[in-house]
Amino acid sequence: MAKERGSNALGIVGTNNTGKTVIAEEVIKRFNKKRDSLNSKNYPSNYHKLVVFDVQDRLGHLMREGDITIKIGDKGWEKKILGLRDSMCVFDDFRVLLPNDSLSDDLLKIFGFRMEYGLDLIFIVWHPTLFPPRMHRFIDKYYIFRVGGDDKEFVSRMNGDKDSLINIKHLVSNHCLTYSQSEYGKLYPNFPFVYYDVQTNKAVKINFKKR
Amino acid sequence: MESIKALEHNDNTPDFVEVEEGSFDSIAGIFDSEKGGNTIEKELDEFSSASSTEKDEINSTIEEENGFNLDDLGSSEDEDSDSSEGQEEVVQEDELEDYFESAEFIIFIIELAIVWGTNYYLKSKNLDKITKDELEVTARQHKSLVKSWAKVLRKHKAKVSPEVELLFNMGASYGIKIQAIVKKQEDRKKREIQEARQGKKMQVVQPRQGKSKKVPDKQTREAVIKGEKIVEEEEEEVKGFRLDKSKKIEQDPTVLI
Repeated sequence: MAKERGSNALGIVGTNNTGKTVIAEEVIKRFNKKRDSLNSKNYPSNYHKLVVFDVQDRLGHLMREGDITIKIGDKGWEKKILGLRDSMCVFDDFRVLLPNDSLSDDLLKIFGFRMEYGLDLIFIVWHPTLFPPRMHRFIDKYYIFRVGGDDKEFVSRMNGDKDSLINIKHLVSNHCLTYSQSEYGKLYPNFPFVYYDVQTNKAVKINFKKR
Repeated sequence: MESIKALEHNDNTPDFVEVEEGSFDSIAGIFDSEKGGNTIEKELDEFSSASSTEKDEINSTIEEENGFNLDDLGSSEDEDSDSSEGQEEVVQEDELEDYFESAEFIIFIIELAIVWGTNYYLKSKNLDKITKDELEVTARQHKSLVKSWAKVLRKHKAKVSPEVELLFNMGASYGIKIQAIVKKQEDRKKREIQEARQGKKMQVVQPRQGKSKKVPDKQTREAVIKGEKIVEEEEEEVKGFRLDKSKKIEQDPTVLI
């Protein structure tokens, strides 16, 4: 397997029951597939770990021995993440873990060293305003599900071109409005969303069916 | 490829953003590759050139430095895999504050249990019982105990663990009731003892033939008072938690109705 330097800081945004955790599961499955293909004996014990903050315990079934669960009130979790290499961290309902707007020194270090340590970071929130200030600047990719509310508020804590983001927000919302609630539920697990790359200003529609 | 016109928000609005159709597989490939980088390459080179023993040492050092816990999944089945063993985690005082209250409560319950257990043992040996006050530790020892318990609770990440919460609720629900019942019993017994000492008449039961039972003689009355005193003394020895011993009196054949 070829090695690539770098990491991904992915923000998954969308209102309740739009499919955010479902897509996070798919991402974790890909990570698991990767680490299954590698011989763990050839790596130190801090490699290829999955870290999960998962208040509703919907991702626990994807964890393996040695993976780390973060619970509300835990202290020192940032240091544990800094000790990992080529690993994935998924924070579902991230704001619950970080109730105020301050970013600890160690959390900032995680963002600073993620490329060097190969840490993929995935933050799931139901609205971009739930990202702490400054943190959204570190996000370089988004999965944008249906999000309600004001456009200005939406982009206030999103990284990337604001107009592109607003376009995407409306694109997803308009498409989702063509479904009733029960119809939308039946789309499981293929809920519609748009993938947006901040650096290239490129967007990809996923699971958009013609209506 | 579909182009979408940008909404006009300001003069610098780009005309459109390119939106492609795609699948999840087409965008998720970024998570498939092994990560590289200077640090990773260096660590992997060192690890691959190390002997088996050295690799174990490297892993032990990593686990100690990073404070890894094999918690939740997998570790509960195999206690030996708990990487927190052997590592000393420095716990700050302010990190334990949240646990002090529940630690105090646990110590209180344990002290009661120790008194009961000890007295059970002493009784079996026909030795004198002890009181809770005799077991009282110094303030310094108490503080150390609280801190130790707080560390235990913190280790298990429990500000108020479900077990402690249950004890709290039971203490609140039953403790108050028991206190009230025992107090009532004590007051009743004190009254009875006082009445017996003053030589007041016991309640008399009228048989069918109209004959009345005799008032118990002085010897009998004194035996009753003595029996009650023994019970009273036993209750006094256990402070803070009183057991309903009224049944003992009822079983005493000298109790008169």
